[in-house]
Amino acid sequence: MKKKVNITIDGKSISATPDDNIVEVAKANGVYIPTLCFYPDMGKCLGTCRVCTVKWKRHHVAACTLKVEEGMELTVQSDELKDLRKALVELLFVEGNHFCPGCEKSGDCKLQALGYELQMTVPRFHYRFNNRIIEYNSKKILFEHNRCILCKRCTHKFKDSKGRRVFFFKGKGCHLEVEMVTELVDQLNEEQVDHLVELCPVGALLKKGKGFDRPYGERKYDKTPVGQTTETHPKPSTKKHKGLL
Amino acid sequence: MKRFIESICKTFNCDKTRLLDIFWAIQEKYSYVPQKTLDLLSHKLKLSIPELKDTLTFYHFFHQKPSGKIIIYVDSSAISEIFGLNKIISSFEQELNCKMGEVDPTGQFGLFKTPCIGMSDQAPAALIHGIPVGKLTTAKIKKIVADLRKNILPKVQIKNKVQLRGPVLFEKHNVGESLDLLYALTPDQIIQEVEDSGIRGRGGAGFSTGKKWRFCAEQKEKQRYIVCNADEGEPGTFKDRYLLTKNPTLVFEGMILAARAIGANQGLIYLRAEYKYLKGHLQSILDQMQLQNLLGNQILDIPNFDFHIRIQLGAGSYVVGEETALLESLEGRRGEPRMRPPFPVEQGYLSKPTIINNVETFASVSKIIKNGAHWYKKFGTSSSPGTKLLSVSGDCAHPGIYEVEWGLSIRQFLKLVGATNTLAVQVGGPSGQCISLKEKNRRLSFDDLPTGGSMMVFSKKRNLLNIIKNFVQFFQDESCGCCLPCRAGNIVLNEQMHAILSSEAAEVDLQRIQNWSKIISASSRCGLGQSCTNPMISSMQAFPEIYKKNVKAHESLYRPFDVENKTVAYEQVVQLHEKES
Amino acid sequence: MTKNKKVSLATISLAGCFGCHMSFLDMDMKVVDLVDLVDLHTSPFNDLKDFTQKVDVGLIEGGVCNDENVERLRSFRKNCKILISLGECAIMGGLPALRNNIPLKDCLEEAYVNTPTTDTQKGIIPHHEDIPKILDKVYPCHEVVKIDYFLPGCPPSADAIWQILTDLIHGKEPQLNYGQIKYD
Repeated sequence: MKKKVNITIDGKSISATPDDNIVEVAKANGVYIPTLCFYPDMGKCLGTCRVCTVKWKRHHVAACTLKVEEGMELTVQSDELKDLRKALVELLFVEGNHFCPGCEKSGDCKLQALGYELQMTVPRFHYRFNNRIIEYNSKKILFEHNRCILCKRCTHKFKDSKGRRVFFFKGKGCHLEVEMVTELVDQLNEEQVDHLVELCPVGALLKKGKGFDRPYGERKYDKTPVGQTTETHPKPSTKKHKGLL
Repeated sequence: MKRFIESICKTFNCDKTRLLDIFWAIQEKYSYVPQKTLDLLSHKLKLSIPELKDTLTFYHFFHQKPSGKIIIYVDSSAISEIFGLNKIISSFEQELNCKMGEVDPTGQFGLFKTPCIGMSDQAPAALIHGIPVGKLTTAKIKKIVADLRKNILPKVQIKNKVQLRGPVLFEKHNVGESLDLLYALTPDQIIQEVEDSGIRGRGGAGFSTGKKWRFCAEQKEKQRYIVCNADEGEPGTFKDRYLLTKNPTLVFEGMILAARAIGANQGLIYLRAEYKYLKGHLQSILDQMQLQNLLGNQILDIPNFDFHIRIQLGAGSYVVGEETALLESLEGRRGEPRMRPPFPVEQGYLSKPTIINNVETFASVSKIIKNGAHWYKKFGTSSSPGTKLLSVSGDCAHPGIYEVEWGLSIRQFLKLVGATNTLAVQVGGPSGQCISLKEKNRRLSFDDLPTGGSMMVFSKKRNLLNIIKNFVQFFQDESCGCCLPCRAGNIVLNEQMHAILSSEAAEVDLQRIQNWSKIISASSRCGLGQSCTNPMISSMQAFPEIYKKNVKAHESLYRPFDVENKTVAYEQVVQLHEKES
Repeated sequence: MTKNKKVSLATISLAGCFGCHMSFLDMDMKVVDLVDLVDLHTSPFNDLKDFTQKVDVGLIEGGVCNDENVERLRSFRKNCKILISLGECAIMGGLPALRNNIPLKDCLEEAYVNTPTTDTQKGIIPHHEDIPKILDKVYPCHEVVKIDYFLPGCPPSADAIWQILTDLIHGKEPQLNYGQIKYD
């Protein structure tokens, strides 16, 4: 085991193992760093949403990309950083079409929960009313691209039973989209589909036939702010269902 | 078609990292990449079609639908714009009988825009079937299109105007001269010499080249690579075009020295697609060098010193100029910047330690090794030793290539290039700084005004806001989209710029732009996002009066909202139905 | 706002469903308390349509979908010191804005011509000088006039409406707790 070193987060001294991920180290020590694309225990981070941006040596860095180093002094909560995070969340709200009242993920949506936590009442940017497609060809998944935040969780953190990627990017810049391999999605078992839908932080990937399944007040973030919840989904087992032979 | 796909897959060994080459081969044959070829490729390479498209759709030179047998790309850079881009576009539209972004009725010609093609010294310019043509006029376009209709392609005619031959890169040099020292110097001594020279990367970031090499040499992994970044994408620069056209051996020598220094046996040159016309030329030079035993196995009979160089053609993407994005692209993927660490010297090409340097850096290194670090440090300043190649364009009497010593002041620069009635200088391209003459005592150097080489001069007759809008649009188009602030933030900035130009913005909007820009550049993942706010921020600092003149002092309680205009659609539908009944 | 004088209040529903107004009434007994604090002016609650005086606070429900909405909203801006966008529709167009990506022609034809409930042989797209003209899209209120405060929710809870109103009445910057800001 590596020797522990000392770091400070917002002035709080924390003893941590070098090379450990800052977001997880902070969490283990009761310091919450807001994240969106970050997915625990999944190896290489994605670094796409930048919501976890913190300050280190007068530079801004995405905490999910940072590893513990001796003597690190990080700032997580400052007015400037809070406003930065809020602005990023607002950018996502205007970039896609997030009609929360009509979304099945509402109440369980991480983007929405971050909006609540950062006290977003209205984005400071213009709504763009982007026009992306709603993909319904798959037998198992409804893909509402207008809600997609392009976080890369499905493209880079989801593999099928044979270890293949099922989602890819298409285009670039403001034309960037996620493209799914419908044939592979249709081969996923129930468990994998559930995992996939959980993996999507917003309501872009929905399980067909599920719809709204819990009343208001009983959903994940109705009463508990996102900072007090954990995202610990079981890794999907790779064994195949036997089926109903 | 099946046989063709099989043959190209065979040529490239079904190697997924050669996907760009495979798409180029397909596009060369069919003038686009038909869906059918993707089906076949998918089968052959065992990749799903979305996986193929992941790479294919990232690069704007690849087309997925018929886009003309001959494609004309008009350079849409700010420099082209001030020299009559709109007129050039309408001339092409008229001659080809199609709109910008479309294919002509015969299906023979396609007309598209592309960012700077590295011809700013000869703007307005266009790439015609890959061939650059500069100084376009309506008459010239008429002739070109008439010729094209007779199947005559324009000739490659690049006029490299060297305006100032500096002491380093223009010093007399015989092919292979710097390599003579390979016998005398150990790899470590080569690194030491480069380190001692104090040279910093010429691409823009300015990292110490010697340090980079040293880090790479210290890695445990022995399989290492040398990559030359010839993806000169910063609008307004064309100095690498000059080096690659006129003095490519100097660049290759630098790569060979680097290979010796860190013990690499494979080098790659990532050549931007806009310079595709140079590929044949460069390859023939490489072949020649191989014949001279300067490349290949046992170079100069030094035991175990093998080094090969392959040219990898890009496919149209500015962000690929960022070194880790370039690595992704070299490996046949989307050119998205990687997360650092690990740095390329630790895990670069194919996850092996890799040195990536700019064309000009390698060329300079050849001179440093030939003449010594001490000689090199005589030029420039103490913190920015040596010289810099500048690509000068815009409103000046003598656009072209200049080799100047670091430390040149803007005042000296303007005199040198024959600029009069100057309003602004864009130092370092859109990602650099826009400065006014109030700052003419500032100097080109890493600690004051760094530049990758692009120097655009704008006179007082230009509308600065239009120029800045062009830059903002450029960043919006070229953002890879992978991180949020850059992808969505650039759109927001572009909207604001639009509001200013259409006199809808108020002074408070300028403050908003400043605040939002800070957020975008602070939180973006790579250099593109971090510098995309520079054009607006630096021009607002340098020319507050221009911005102020274009915005209202107070924001009205009533937002600009044109009801008439927004009910037109409704009126039309009603009229249509009236007519029908 | 002084503590002794009553605050004047106006409300309106533009392209909304009156859900936010219903939620307002959901305040139950607090409505009685509110009566002590505010005077109600132009509002669907009392069916007063025109302003007879300037009021302190205007609550806007619904987004802007036709030219009459624009006119009404501008009149609210003119007559209210503080405007509050109440609910998702006022803030971002809400569910009516789902039409923003469908060509207006298709929307109107689907609603008035092709629908099975069209009772005449050939449907007619309503148009008359007295009927408001539909805009190409549904717009958030703050794209038409300046809005001072925003209270999201579909609808915002009565609790949140009470909170924002009483905070303003007592001269405080509105503070909303977790659960009071929601988007559904």
